[in-house]
Amino acid sequence: MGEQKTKNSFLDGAIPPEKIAESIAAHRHKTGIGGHAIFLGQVRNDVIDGKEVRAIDFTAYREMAEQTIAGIREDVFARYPLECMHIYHSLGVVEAGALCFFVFTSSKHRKPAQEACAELVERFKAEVPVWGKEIFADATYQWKELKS
Amino acid sequence: MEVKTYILSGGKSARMGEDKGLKPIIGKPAIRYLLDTLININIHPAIIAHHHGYHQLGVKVIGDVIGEKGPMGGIYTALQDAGADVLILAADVPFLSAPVIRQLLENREAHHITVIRHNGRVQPLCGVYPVACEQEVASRIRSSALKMMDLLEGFPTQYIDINGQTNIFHNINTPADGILAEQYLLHMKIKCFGKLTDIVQEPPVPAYPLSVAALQAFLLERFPALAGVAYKVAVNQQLAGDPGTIITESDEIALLPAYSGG
Repeated sequence: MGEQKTKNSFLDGAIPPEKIAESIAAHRHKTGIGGHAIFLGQVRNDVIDGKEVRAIDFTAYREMAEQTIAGIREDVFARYPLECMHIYHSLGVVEAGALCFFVFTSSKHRKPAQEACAELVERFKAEVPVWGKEIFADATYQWKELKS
Repeated sequence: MEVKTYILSGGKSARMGEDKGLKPIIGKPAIRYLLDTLININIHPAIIAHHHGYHQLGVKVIGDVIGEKGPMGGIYTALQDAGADVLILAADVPFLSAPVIRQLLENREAHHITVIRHNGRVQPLCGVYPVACEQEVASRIRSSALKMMDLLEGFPTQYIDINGQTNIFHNINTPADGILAEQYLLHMKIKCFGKLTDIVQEPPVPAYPLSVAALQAFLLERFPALAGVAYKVAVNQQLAGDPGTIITESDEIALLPAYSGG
């Protein structure tokens, strides 16, 4: 969309499902859009060494993360004919079963939205300085490691 | 001849309402920052002070030989105690950096007072006072001619000019300055993320300037567990690809282990 105001991509706590609905509703007037792609990341109850993940506590290097996200947005906008793009990630504790990552793209025809969305998800995970601490039922924790 | 180091705590400050060097800055007394810098370069100072708070720092404390003689009295006390050339520092300039201190020590001369001149402003309490000036100091104490600038003008003095680097000469003279100091310090602290926060509980402050590689070696020495963690260094929010990149005290440094968001 080309907005240059400072974006705030991070929310405290879980992303409420209502936010997804609100974001969709907010595009009602954008009648040039023919397709939306949405990715939702949810905290999963992984079992590690017999212990179940109850929540993930997310932290980020805020300023660098926002810069990195802005760079990825700009690059993806330049390469796909998108009408809209939204990226949100949780900070703080998000319980298993709750949403922590929301990517939403919109375009005139479906393919750019779907492809851009997939790319944004992969690039966010690879390039944005965010860390997750997996918290187990017994209050111990371990730092999450992404499988490459 | 060796040099002995003394930190002048100064008297009570009416504006501060408490002893300046003991003012807590992010939970530590201001003078602690200077003490840590000195220990990092293997200097073990003594403090010239009267406030009892200074006795709890694990550092030798001595009182003024002759009271009520201001900074000149402190220098006199130091020269008497040391029987050697003395490096004089001030508790209310707690962020003075190791490179500046080293510069003073490297450039000192037996028959000159050597002081820093920062942005054109002479810093008498940032200097080396040799045994050679002891008589001059003693004479001024006796006649209560206590102005430091007069001493520097009346005795052979050499100046080391340092420009910029305002933060390291920050003088904590008012409570508001304490807040500025806190902001500076938070900025100066190396930011750690992810599992590094388990290993590096208290991010140390290295002696700037140094390369990224030297910083990593410095950290590894203090936190051997870092050997097991792959991490990148970000300088001013950009990943530092070249380990030879030089970092200065005004750069923002962050240590980033593998990401796990999304």
